[in-house]
Formats: sequence, structure tokens, C-alpha cells
Amino acid sequence: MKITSTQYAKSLYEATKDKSQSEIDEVISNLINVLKKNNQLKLISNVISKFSEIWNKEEGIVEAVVTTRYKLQDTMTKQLEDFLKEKYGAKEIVLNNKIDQKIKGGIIIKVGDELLDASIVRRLKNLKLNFIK
Amino acid sequence: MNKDYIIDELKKQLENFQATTQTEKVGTVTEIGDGVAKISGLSDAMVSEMLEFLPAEASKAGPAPLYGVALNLEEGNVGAMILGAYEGIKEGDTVKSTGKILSVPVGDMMVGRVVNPLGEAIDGKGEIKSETFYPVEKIAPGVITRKGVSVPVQTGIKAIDAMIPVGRGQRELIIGDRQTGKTAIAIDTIINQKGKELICIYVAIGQKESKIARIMGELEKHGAMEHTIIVVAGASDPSALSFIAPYAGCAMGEYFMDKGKDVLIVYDDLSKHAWAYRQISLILRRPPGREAYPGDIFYLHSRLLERSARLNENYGGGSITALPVIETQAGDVSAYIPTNVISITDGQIYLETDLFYKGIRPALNVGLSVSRVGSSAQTKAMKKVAGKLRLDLAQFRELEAFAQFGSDLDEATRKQIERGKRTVEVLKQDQYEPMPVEHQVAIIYALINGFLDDVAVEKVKTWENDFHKYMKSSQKEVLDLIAEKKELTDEVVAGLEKAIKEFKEVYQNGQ
Repeated sequence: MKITSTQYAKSLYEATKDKSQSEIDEVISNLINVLKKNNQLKLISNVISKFSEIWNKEEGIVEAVVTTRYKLQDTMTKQLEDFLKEKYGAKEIVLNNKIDQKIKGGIIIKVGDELLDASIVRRLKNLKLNFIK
Repeated sequence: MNKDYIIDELKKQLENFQATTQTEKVGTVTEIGDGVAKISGLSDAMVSEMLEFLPAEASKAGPAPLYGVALNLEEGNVGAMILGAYEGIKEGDTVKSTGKILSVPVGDMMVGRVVNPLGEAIDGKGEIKSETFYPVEKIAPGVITRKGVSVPVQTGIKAIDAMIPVGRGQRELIIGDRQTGKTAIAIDTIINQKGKELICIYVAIGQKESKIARIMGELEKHGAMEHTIIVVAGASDPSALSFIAPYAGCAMGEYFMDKGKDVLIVYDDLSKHAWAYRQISLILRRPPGREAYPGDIFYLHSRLLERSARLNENYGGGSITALPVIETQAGDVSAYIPTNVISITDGQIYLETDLFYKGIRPALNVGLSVSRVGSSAQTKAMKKVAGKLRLDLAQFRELEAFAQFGSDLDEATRKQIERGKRTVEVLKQDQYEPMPVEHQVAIIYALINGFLDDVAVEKVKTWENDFHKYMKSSQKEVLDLIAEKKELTDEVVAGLEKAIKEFKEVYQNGQ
């Protein structure tokens, strides 16, 4: 049976957990060798993305993409981090601020495949649908 | 209504409008082609759940949201078919799960309308608003809810009603090459339900729009649209629509069945349905099997046709009768899809090109056509006359080869051949002219009892037409008696004999 990228990522996480930098380097070069031996080197980018997913999950890190019209202020960032920490029970929040003029105002928060859309554009659209009804 | 009123009303609505925000599960389109999209994310999507596509340039797509249906749930991504125009969707577009299983609006207002497989009107007679929705995919009624077939569906076609009877709740396949009159049989059956309690649903799958328009025109002309729903997935619609069309039509029928009504549903045709499903499956990269159909092609049709049922009294007593149509290639009934559907259905009506060009229309091959359960639904009167009819025909077929020897044959054989020729003549019937069952019984009675033996073969058609006219105008009470008793009692037989003899006298004098 072929080994999937998720399985590689999981074992990589377990092998590198609580290890020193030199040990980690060795584990990574071993992983590359295993992939090469199994003819699965093309999986490497999938393994990396899966690994970061697992890493985030295990370490309680939540990555969030926040779309706003203007750049987030520091106070807002703080408030958002607190809100997300509470919502997802995370230890650490990595905020990625995206600027989009089209949303007109408000905020869109995306965590994984969950979306919290509180933009002005969305509200206007809802209003439109409501009127059509 | 004045301007101020409208503005006030709008103001009120605006004030009351509550902008609610909630988290929703979204995914991103990673791959799109030929009506099928691969979506990453959407971790909570269900099988056959509706997914809403939000094109990046929403203004282009117009106000109507574009929906898809989740078919493949894999690790990390979802394979979905798109119901509608998929040109506007791009890689990277957002997809939202709706939490709803694909369903169609159902209700009494659907009757008389032409709709697409999503239940939206396409006949320009205004929007269809319905509160009730039925899931498109549903598990068929179980054993305890069912009942045997015992009430007939009158197709109005002599050959079928007499020899291949169809009962309510039965699934009778109409099979034959192109241009053999498969659709004609289905349409005649629908027309014959005029003024009766049966609701008809015609599902056109991958048909030419011109053909659908013609059928609609014919149904309207014969006043049959009043009890009919037409579900259309045209040849230019995406195959996703062709794929769900029969299931959607069936869901609309189930609404009436659950209300205790009887429904007739025509799937025209299931070969194209199988093609549509094959296309979707191959694009979804499901492994191809025989004739490149996917592994679940049998289940595709069996789960659809199994939904035809006759419910018992405890469950309302409704029924769905299905007339699936299959188009064969060069008469090959042993191809994959025809054999599958033949084995699922309760019999088949087999149409042949040769017979069609010989002028025998409907071009029914009586030997290969069967009805496995329909005989228990036939009225007693019909059963009695049909038994002899079938025998006459079978003997005729055996002797047909000798017919050319003419004078060299003995009296009995010659007689049988002559009778057979007249039987074939009587079983011919024009399109759009369904015949009430009492007329059918009368003419077949006359035939099997030798009243037509002294009529020239080429005159049988006119003789029959005049006979029906005479019966309708002068012997109405005999016809009414047959319709009422549904049995050949001595009283009915005496009335029939007398009527036929009287007609023959009148006819001969008129010549």
C-alpha cells in the first residue's frame, strides 16, 4: 500500500517532537531519503502543508485570514486575537491581514474552512435578497 | 398604489431588516471542467447536499444563485456536479454548503406546467411557488407498505390493453430502435388519461427541445396538459440536469402518491440518462466498467424504478406506474443498459423497425412483448376476449410462412390465416387516437367470433371505424353495460351479438 502524505506528515511530527535542532535536521534528511526510496518525492509539498496543519493543531495555533477594507489597528488586532482564542480554544493566533477594497467595510474572518462574513457587501446582498422576496 | 406608499413600505422593511452574521463552512474550487468541480475544504458536506457557488464577480451571475450537488466525498476534497451554467465559475471561487439535501418543489400547482429538473417553470406561465419540497433521492417504499397490482392503466391502445396489460404500480419498459414509435405509445397513454383520475408526468431526458415543444403542443391540442407535468432536461442542458431529471420527476410523483392518488410517469429515455451519468462519473474519475459505464449503473436505474409502487390502504393506496423508455441500437436488446432495465422492469413492450415499415403501427412485436404482472389488473371482460385473440395471433404467426401457397392449403389452415390477417389489421391503430376499453372489447369480441371473416382485409379498417361510430351512436347502452359490469355476462354477450348483427345488416345495406 502506498503511504499517504498525511501519514508522512504525522510521523514527521512525532519524530521531531521535543527534539533538538540537529536531531530535527537528521529526521528531515531521513524523510527525504524515505520519500526518494518510495518514489514519492513529488508528495513533498503536500507533506509540508499537512505537517503545518498538524503542527498548528497539536500546538494550539489557529491561523486566521482577516479581510478588511483598511489595515487593522493594533487595538483591533488584540481584540480579534482574544475573540478567536476564546472561540477556538487556541493558545496562539496567527493573524493574516488582507486588504480588499471591494468589501466596502466590516470584516471577514476565515479560519480553516469556516467563514464569518460580516462585511458591508454581504449585508447589502442579504438586504437585496430580502427585498426580492 | 401610490409612490409614497411604496416608499413607506420600503422604509419599514429597511428598518426591520436584521443583519445577522453566522459562521458558515466554505470551500474553494480547486479544479473545474465539464460541469464537475473539485472543491477543497467543506469538511461537513453531506452526500447529495446542495452547495452554493459564489462566483467572484457575483454581478455577472445575476440574482439566481448557482447550485451544485456533492457526489464524491474524498479526503480533503469534494467532487460536485454543477446544476446550471457553469461558465462563470473559476478556480478559487468560494463554495458554501447549505445543509440541505437536493430537493425539488412539489404540489398540485405543478400540474399543467413545464418545469426543469429543479422545479423551476420554463413555460413562461409565471413562477411556481411551493412550500413543500421533496428530496430528489429517496429510498423506495418497503415491503409492508406495498400491495399487488390489481387496477389497470388504460393505455387506450388495443394491442397493449388486450395482450400486454399494464397495472397501476407496474413498471413496463418501452423498448425499440429509433423511430419506432416509443414516445408515441407513451403520449397516447397520457392522452387517454384525459378526464380520468391519473396524473401524468412526462420526463424528457436529453431530448431535442423541438421534440419537447411538439409533444407539448400535441398534449395541449388533445386537452391532456391539464393532468400532466412535463419535466425537461434538454439536449443542451448540462448532463447534471439530465442525471437528476428522472429522480426529480419521481419526487413530484411521490407527492401525489403520498396523497393517495395514482400517478403515471414516463422516463423518455433512460439510455440518455445512463449516458449523462456515465459522463459525470468519468469526469469524476470513477473507474469505468463495461461499455465505460461506472460500477453503479445498475443501481442508478434500479433505485429509480423501484420507487414505482402501489401502496396498500394503510399507506393511502396511491401508486406510481412507470413507463421507462429505452432506445436500442440496431435492435440489440442484449446491450448493457437494455438488459439491465429489462431485468428491473415488470415486462416490456418491444417495438420493431421491420413491423413499423410494414405499416403495422404500433409496431409491436407481440411475441417478445410481455407483461409479468399486468394480467391480474385486466378487467374480466378484456381478459376473456384477449385470451382468444392471443391464441389466434400465435397460430397465425406459425402459419404465416405458408400463406403464399394460398389454394393448396386445407380449409382450417386457410381460415386461420385469414383470421390472423384480420387480427393484425384490427390491432393497427393511428397515433393520438386512444380507444376507450368498452370499444376495444366490442371490436375484439366481433373479431374473435368471426364477424369480420367475410370482410375483405383491406376494408377492415373502414369497417372498424364505422362499427365504432355505430356503437357510439346507436348502441350506447351496450357499451355502457360493458364499462359498468367490466365482465362478459350473458346479458352483455347477448347485447353485443345483437348489436354486431344489426350493424352488419345496416353496413351491408349501405354498401
